[in-house]
Amino acid sequence: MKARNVAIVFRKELTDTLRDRRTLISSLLLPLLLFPLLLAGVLGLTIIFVQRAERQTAQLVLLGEEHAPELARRIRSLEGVSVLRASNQYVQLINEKKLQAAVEFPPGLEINLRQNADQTQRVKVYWYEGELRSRFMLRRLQKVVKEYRDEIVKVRLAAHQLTAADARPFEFEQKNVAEAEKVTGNVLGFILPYFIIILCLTGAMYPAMDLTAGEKERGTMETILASPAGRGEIVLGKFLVVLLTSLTTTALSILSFAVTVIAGASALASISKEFVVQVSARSAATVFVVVLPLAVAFSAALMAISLIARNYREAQGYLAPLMFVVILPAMGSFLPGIELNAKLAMVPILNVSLLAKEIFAGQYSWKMMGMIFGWTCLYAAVALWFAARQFRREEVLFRT
Amino acid sequence: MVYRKELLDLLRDRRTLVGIFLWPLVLFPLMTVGFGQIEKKVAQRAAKRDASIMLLGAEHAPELAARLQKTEGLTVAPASEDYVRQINDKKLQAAVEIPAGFQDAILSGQASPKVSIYFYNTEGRSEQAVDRIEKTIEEYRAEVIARRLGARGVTPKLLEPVVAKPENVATAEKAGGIKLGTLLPYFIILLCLMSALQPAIDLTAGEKERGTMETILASSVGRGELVMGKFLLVLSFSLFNTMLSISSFAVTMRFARDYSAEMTRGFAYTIQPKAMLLVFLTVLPLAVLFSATLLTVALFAKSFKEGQSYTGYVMLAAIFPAIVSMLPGIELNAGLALVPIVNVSLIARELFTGSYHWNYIGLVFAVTAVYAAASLWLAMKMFQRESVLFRS
Repeated sequence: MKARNVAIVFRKELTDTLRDRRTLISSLLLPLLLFPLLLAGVLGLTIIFVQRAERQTAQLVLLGEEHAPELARRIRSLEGVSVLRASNQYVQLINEKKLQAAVEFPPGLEINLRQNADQTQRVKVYWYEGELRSRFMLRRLQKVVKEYRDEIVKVRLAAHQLTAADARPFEFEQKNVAEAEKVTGNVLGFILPYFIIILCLTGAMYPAMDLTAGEKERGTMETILASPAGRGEIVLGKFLVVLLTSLTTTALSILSFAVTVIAGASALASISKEFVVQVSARSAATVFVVVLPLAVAFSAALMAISLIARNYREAQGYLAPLMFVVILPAMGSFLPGIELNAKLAMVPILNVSLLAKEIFAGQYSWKMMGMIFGWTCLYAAVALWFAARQFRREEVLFRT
Repeated sequence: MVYRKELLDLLRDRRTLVGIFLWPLVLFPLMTVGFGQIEKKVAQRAAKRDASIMLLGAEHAPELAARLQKTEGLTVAPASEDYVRQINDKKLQAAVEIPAGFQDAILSGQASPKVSIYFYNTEGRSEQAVDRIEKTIEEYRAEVIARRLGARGVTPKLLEPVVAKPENVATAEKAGGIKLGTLLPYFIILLCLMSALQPAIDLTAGEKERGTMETILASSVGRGELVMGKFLLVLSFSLFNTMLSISSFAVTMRFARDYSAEMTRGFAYTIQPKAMLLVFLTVLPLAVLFSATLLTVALFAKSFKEGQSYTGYVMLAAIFPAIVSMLPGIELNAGLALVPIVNVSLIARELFTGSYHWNYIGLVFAVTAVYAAASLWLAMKMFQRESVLFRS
């Protein structure tokens, strides 16, 4: 096998692939634009609509207002709330979203507050669970009641010569001590490994079909086989193109994803200040190294399978089920609480998915990494050997 | 006749059949049930596992420390300096720091000391440990308060004069429907489109590729009849496949009760036959629109492969408006009712949550029907043009 011949095949196939406008669009432009567009679009629209729902005037009814004039006054003075005339049909009105909430004061609420200190008064707030505007209304009502309660408690404590501090013997608070990188990685680690693996596969799919079944369909397979380049060299050249496309697609998609996330982080920062987005270059590089043999395995396997097909369309039919076989183990990163062990490290795809998740979360267990890298390399070698063997079999190459 | 011929052709194709039946009927339920089961099992195992925590300055608060040690699901590890490192390495789930003089402050009631709980934000087990710790601490605090107030002859009830109790009045169907109603319209619309994809390409670009387009055009049937036959086939594929998927989904949800209960957060959820029927009715013109559009677009392609990439763009264009049902806070209005796909997505959501706005249903149906008619007319027109039919 000569490296020069491999390089010639590689160059020829690469020019072929790049000349195809459609390949370029689907492998470069789409992932670059689709991710940010989809993410930004959905996120932006959500923020706009949520904000609009917050600004909209909420409709409310007060039931038994005469029992709690003071509390009712406070609710009425809320901004952006219009209190409608009390009606018994509030349940139906809430269900029709004509009313966001109804507040029911129990009889004698404020009299009881003054006279029976050992009784808790229950104000019922009827709402539509799951409906956005109703939820906003409920939250505001709860805040009003809480403020009212705090004032009453203050007065009551003072009456017994107690202070507010007596009712709060001590405080406690949560403090995050994980590094920002780890927190980000933990969130990203759920989805990113899945996307990376799927992208690796779909990125290899198109060229793998085009360079094997597509070649048969166009009738150029015989021509290339008759060239002075050996079978092994042809396979290797083709394989390298497939691998390159797969890796480029993946890298570009991840890059565009990262840019979107970082750009969106400013939008997120306004929602939760604690969430600091920080992805370390080290973990990204490590993941890339781990994914490399997997991309090799995918590229080789896809080529070996689509070579059996007589034409492009048939190849698609063969590869579609393969997609499924890959999706399931790739989803491993979605599962919370699965930890890697020696046995799981042997399961292809699942092992890479789980390992990538750990790496994103900033956990580097070198032993596991070595093991998984080794296993994946082994699978990749088998796939490559299989692909090379397929190319030597005439009955596969010239199947009719 | 055209319809029968094309149907026979398609059914002979083994892959199409597999695509229709295997996908929705076997794989979808398998995946949801399987994934749900695994998730449940893993979550249960995680919940059962003890969290390892550290008490820093336990000597300052013997009472609280004793309670934390007794708390179920928490194992107290000996205190050490490198707790931050250990939490970062997930060897420790949380650490509780009690300030010096805690017990004295509580007894004297002078100062209000602060207990810190160190944890790993977003890490499931760590957050669970914090929940357990906080519950114990809060119980302890309530007891301290009761003791204090008791010493002055006051009941702790004094501190809870009034509470606001939320009560959900939305019918169970609505509360559950709001969850599914956000997802289901999106899936239905996409399924409608995807199932029309394959036959639409096959009957136009595929026909060109196989070189049989001329043959069929030369037959005694007219162009219009030909288009109608092809179109009806694509439409019935799309509808049939969508219905299969939806019913398989419904069956899956019924079998996987625990899973569905989790998804709807414990709400009894039933899809009303009336809602289902109405959704089907509004989707019908949309399916017509999709089938006709795909046929037209695919007709431009010279080969199957090219057809795929053209229809891929249609797919992308349809995904964006279909996603709308998943956005919170967006409500159907007269303006939105005119936007294709968006209107169906939103009306389907309303129907699933059990609100029947008849005027909107009528409007959306009419608007979509107009679009469908236009697209069908376009498909007819394209089949008349030789330049499109024999493009090369």
